[in-house]
Amino acid sequence: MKDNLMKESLIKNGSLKSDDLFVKLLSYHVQLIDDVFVESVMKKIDSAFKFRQWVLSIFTVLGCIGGLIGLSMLWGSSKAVFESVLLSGYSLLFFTLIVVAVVVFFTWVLNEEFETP
Amino acid sequence: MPMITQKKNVSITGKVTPDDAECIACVVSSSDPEAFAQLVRKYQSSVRQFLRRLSAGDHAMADDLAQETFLLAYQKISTYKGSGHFKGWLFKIAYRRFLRMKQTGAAKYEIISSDITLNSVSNDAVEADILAEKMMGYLTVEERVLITLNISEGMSHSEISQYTGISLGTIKSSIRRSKQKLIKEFSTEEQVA
Repeated sequence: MKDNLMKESLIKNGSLKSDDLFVKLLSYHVQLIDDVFVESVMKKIDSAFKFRQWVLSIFTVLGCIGGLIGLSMLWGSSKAVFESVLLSGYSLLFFTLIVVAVVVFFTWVLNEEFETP
Repeated sequence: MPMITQKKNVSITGKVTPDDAECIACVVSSSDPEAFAQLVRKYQSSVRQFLRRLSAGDHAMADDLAQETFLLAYQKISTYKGSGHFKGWLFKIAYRRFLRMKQTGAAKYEIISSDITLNSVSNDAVEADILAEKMMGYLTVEERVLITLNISEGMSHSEISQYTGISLGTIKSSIRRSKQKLIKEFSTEEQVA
């Protein structure tokens, strides 16, 4: 093969049949079929998925904690206002609907993230 | 034992194959890992070989990039519109990943290799691939990707332009220049020998 390639690569009379030579030289000569590689890829995908789950969970918890802290800070100074507003029937119903809508929304958003790949 | 294959110059045209379409649909709809694993098994050779040529023989880096390519493909598979071949879409991701890595450590990928000896050519398929990878060391990164997609993968210039974003004129001139460089190196080695 070496001799044939060398002959083919010589510039003969100013012309060179380079295209066939290039195809022969630059074609992929080996098929890389490796189950270990496939397993590595799938493990990486799984790790990336779990990392996203952790990040979402942590920031959701932090958000809830922040919300509770904010609510507790407001409660003391606005207790009277809250009592007069929330204890009315329509306000309580409206507030309940808001809470349910938020819970449904977050369940819908995070459900996809918690699906196992 | 490495499989010796003579790859035909088959142009990648048309849309996604029915097998690929089924696998992609499973991945998009239910994140089916086995369906994606089938795609990885099918295209791992092409992607890894492509990146080995781009990296001029750095197998470890090429395989690492290939894994990142498939990871990104899994995460972004819902963005695949099916307008071109799935393999071309993978090459597009691989090329961009390689360019990003090149930006962080560009110098080492542009070093022109001077230790190629044509006497190392043999009938062994593995050594033939290694020689081809080392030949890429004579070329710039852009030249490597263009000549690999054109000659090794059998893509037409318009397909290459579609997947790399490089203009047709640049592709043609770059491939011509690459061939001239390699011919010059062959001729120089022959004279030295």
